[in-house]
Amino acid sequence: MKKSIELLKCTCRNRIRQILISTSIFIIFITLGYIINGFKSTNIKLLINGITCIISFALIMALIYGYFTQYKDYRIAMQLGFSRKTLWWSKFIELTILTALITIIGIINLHVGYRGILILTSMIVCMNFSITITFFALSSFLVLFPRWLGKTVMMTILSFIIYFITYETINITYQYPKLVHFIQKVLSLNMYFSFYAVCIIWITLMLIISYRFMNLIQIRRN
Amino acid sequence: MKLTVNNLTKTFKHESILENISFELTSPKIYGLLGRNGVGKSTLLNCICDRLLFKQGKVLLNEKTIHNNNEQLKQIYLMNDNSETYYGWETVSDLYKYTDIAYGNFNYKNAHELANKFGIEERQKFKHLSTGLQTAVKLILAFCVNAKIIFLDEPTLGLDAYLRDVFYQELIKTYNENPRIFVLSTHLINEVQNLIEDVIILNNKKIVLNKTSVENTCQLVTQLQGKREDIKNLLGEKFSSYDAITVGKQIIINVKTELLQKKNIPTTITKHPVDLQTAFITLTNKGNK
Repeated sequence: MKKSIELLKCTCRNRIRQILISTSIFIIFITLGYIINGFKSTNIKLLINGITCIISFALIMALIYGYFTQYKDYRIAMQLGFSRKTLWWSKFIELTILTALITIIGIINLHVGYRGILILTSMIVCMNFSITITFFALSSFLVLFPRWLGKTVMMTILSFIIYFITYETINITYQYPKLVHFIQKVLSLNMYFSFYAVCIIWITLMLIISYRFMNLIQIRRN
Repeated sequence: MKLTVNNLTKTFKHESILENISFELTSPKIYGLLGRNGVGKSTLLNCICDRLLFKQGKVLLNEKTIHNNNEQLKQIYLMNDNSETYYGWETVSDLYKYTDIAYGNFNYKNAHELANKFGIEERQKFKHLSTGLQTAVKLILAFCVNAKIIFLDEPTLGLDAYLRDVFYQELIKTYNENPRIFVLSTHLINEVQNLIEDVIILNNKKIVLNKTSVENTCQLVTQLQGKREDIKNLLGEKFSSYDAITVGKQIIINVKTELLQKKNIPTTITKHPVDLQTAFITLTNKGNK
């Protein structure tokens, strides 16, 4: 664990840089939106919603960026004398922190908009974590293939995500109501345990897969 | 400190790159890992440092496997010629910090001095440096890192004559101050001949010379000078395997010394010692099997 934290200290600066860049881009867009709309005043609820939305966007971008830089992270880890096992732990910690932050922000948003839905937090955490770890396993798998192939597949997936984010709804955190709707359905059908069980099995499976693939990463031949 | 490479075999897509490589590095020395282009020197170093996986063989450090072992990996440092090692936006100082976090006890004082000697501005971004200066930064990291075994893969890539000289001087200095195992993989054999103590030569996927001193390596090859007919008679069928240089009425030919054993060399043929580069070329020439 100590070694994973050491590696995280080296790689997190890059992630923080990415978060700042993403935040700046998003703030520029929001500001432009305000300018175009003539600085129309808004209520506090929407303001909080906007701020959490920016942070959410930046964190999600950092998460996505993390999937793309899997090989770079590996190269740095190897150069600094860290094992693949340590790299996996470091990635796992990083993804857990980012997912937790995204979830907390999402829940803050929910709290603002939909009071009383906090009881569903654990389910949201499970869902978010399942998605994050699934992508972790996918990126760990793709990094084993030639760069062009990995990038093409990840770019295709990213394109879908961008489409989803921008076309479906500009505000990422607005996805939570949909998620909550799904979870409410689960609740109404009394499927608590099945839901948790499926999530936990899925997360465990994805973690094992990502660990297995991470242990197969090698230096690419130039 | 004992590094053991035992029967290491590496294949890429069913094509064998290295076959049954075995050697041991124990005492602090500067070793030269020599081999022709594409022979697998970098592959071997990457395998030793657990950056490449291999199906057969073992790499042990003090009898413990290096694979996925942080404690052992922290004892070794590989400086390679790949520019993709870092994210790119980091400054030179950032790279010092990274190395310090990872290996501990980074010699910042020496690093600052070396940066001055190499003419590197430490606030500059790594990716904005020229190839030669990027190599210089990697050398600084290799010299100042707290590791017991340092592998330098193409350490002179892009360095001009002056910086190469600085590198050679600093290598001797750091080695004298803190004797460690250094392994140099380079093609500039003439330049490193006086630096390295023992030689490991890779050829045809195998080690053909294992930890032999430079002097002994040079003695494995002899230069013959004399009339073509005399040398042809002396070498017999093997004569056509070697490249001869014609100088007036005579020829100069470098041959493996073992060929001359138990043979009476006529007085018309003179023998000359060769340097490491000539010995290396002769020993690794595909026609000289």
